[in-house]
Amino acid sequence: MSKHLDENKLIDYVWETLTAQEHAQADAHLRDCADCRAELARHQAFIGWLAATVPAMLPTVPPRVQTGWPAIAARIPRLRASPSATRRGSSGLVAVGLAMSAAVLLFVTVTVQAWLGLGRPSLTATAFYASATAVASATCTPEHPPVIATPIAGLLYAAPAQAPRPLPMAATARP
Amino acid sequence: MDESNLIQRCVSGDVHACADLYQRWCGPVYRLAYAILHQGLDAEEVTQDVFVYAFSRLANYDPAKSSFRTWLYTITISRSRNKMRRKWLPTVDIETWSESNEAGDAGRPSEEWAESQAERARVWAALGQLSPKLREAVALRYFENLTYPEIGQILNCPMKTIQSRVRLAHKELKKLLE
Repeated sequence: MSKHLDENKLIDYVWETLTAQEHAQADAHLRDCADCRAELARHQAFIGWLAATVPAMLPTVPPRVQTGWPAIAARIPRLRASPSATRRGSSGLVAVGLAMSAAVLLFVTVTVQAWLGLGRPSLTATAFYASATAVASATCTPEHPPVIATPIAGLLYAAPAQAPRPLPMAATARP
Repeated sequence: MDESNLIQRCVSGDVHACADLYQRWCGPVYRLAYAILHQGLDAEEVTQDVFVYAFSRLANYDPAKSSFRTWLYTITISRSRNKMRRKWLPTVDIETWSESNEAGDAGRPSEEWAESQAERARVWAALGQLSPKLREAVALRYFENLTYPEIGQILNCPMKTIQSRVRLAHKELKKLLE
């Protein structure tokens, strides 16, 4: 009888990783050797037991993983830019638009305030001022401010300290 | 739906196809990560990282080179290794911890249940004693029932090396459990 099969050979036999020639040699030996057959049976039983036990030990997939797609999609820029993602992000765009509008309004307000403070009128500023207060007239100048008609116009307009003078009607009225 | 078709749709930016592909593979990826890391929360984190990476680079996946499973498992192994490398404190899931602490109040478990739990705990502890390389080989061979060429492709090793690792893991586990 040939030499006993070593442990590595037996394990490889069970796992079917022997070459065809090695497998044939092992088969020939196993036919005649009860010890090696018994040892082989022990390895086969162990692998069978592990194969049955180990996969069953793995837990079921938690619900957090099963429902985890939205969190993953949110981390992928390519998917965030997709149409469905854009729908979710539309409120963000509105917020940016509103913020920009507010910034422009603030800039205009500050500019008007600065212009009034300096007391140097310009036609454009006068026209803006008049439309903002909704009481525009041909005679409207910084020296003769219009009547404040609305609370918003009141906020925009810083009235001069002195009382408004009467319009220079005499200059235009001919006898 | 055919998987290659699904992948094509994912590459073209179809979010629903991506969600379908995720549903199809999140379980196997989580289980593989769990088999290597032996910790639920870590496995969850790795699963999320795997899919973020995979969907960000799905256009690079070449079906001629490997199956999608092999490609995904390669990423899973890589991410699990990173997780193990960076880990220096054990993660404890507070829910599991509180459940295990309250188990005694829930009533006396049956003897069979207790025995099977004890056996599982013994096997799990033995698997935990294997080196990471052997554990990866065991996870892919026992848990996923992959072939040696597939495992070789995932672990980027020659087939002989994989066979040797599986054999070594078998011997160590036998020594620990018998």
